[in-house]
Amino acid sequence: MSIPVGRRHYWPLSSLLLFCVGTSPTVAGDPAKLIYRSNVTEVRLNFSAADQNNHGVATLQASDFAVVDSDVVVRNFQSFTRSDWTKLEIAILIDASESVTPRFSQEMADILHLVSSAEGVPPENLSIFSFEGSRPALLCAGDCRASQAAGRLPEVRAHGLTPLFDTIVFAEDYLAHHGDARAEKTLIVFSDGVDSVSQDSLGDALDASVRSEVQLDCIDLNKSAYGSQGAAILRNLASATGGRYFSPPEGTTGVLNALLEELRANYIVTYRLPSRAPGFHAVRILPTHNLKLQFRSRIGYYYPNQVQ
Amino acid sequence: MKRALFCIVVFAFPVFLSAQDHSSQQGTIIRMRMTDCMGPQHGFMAAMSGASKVESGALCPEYVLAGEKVVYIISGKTSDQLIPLAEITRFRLQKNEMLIRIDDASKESHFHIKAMVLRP
Repeated sequence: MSIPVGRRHYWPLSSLLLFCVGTSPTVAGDPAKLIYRSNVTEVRLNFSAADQNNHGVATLQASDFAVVDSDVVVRNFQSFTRSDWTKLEIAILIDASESVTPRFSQEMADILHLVSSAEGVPPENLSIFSFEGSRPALLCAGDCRASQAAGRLPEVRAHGLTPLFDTIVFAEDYLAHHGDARAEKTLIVFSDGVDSVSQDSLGDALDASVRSEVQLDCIDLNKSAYGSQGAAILRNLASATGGRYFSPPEGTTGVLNALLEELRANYIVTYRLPSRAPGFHAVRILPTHNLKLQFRSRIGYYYPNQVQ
Repeated sequence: MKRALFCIVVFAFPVFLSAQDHSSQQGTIIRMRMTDCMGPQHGFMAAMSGASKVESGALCPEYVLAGEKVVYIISGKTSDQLIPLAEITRFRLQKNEMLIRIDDASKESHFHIKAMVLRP
């Protein structure tokens, strides 16, 4: 039994055939070179919201904020959701250099506390980095829960040079290529912000974090943040990536609790790309009604010259 | 006499209110950026007259506000003079400045008008 095909149905049929011809494998003799082209149409942004007391806001609505993307105000979003805490990728960077020796034991205790507090985060989403000599090192990944980590972390000694920026780039590269590409990724840096031997610069570390979409939360181990260049570097790293900076006088337990609370109250918004201009697109999130709300996100993203 | 005065006030008040409403306009902020703050003497007239620009180094918010008939480019006088980016912003014009009431603030905020363009 034949299926009747009306005259007006020929056009879509012929279009489909043309499409099939256009996408058929290359004939013999042609170089087997396939080029897959894709088109980026959507921007995806992780951010956190806090009230005037710096407490995370867990009841944010899409109408409470607007995104300013390269000067353009975006209010129409394609999606707006709370980020999934169970998909969060957490990496911890321990500054094991000589400059933090006085606070090293306290630093270790804080990290162990943080690792044991991160309930709900799967073990495979947790990793710890430090230095070995003048090189970055991965201390543990996937098995860093307090019971195992307690045995490994004391091997780190507070001595030697400080390849801080190299280790940040190393850890960001690890996070960028590990786990779910859509998962939120954060690097918690315990450091005094002093770097003595890195090949990468502060600019490289910032650039890597913007490209890999990794948020940096910095816990300052200086005795005082006043007049400290290291504190300024840590502050810069945190603000550029949408993370938080914690100054030395703040209590460590309170800091860790605030950090975990905020990570649990993060959001993801997606919207249509407002401009296809290649290069850096600065991004800022601002309130639509309540000016007391504060938003933290990365400072922007790169749109490539040619998307392939 | 007092009764007559009272009647005048009672009848004139709604007219006064309606006149106030007419001067109030609404628009939508479609662009926003941080730019060099304008000096205290700089406004729309100074910008049009080509007076030299004084840069203090501080950054102030600059907005493009699309009204019903005119598109305004306005800038805050201080770095923290932010406007909520709601869908509708109500404003009025007074002495070459734009006045916007922000949230429940008791006073309106004053913004420099840097440029005005008629909407096509």
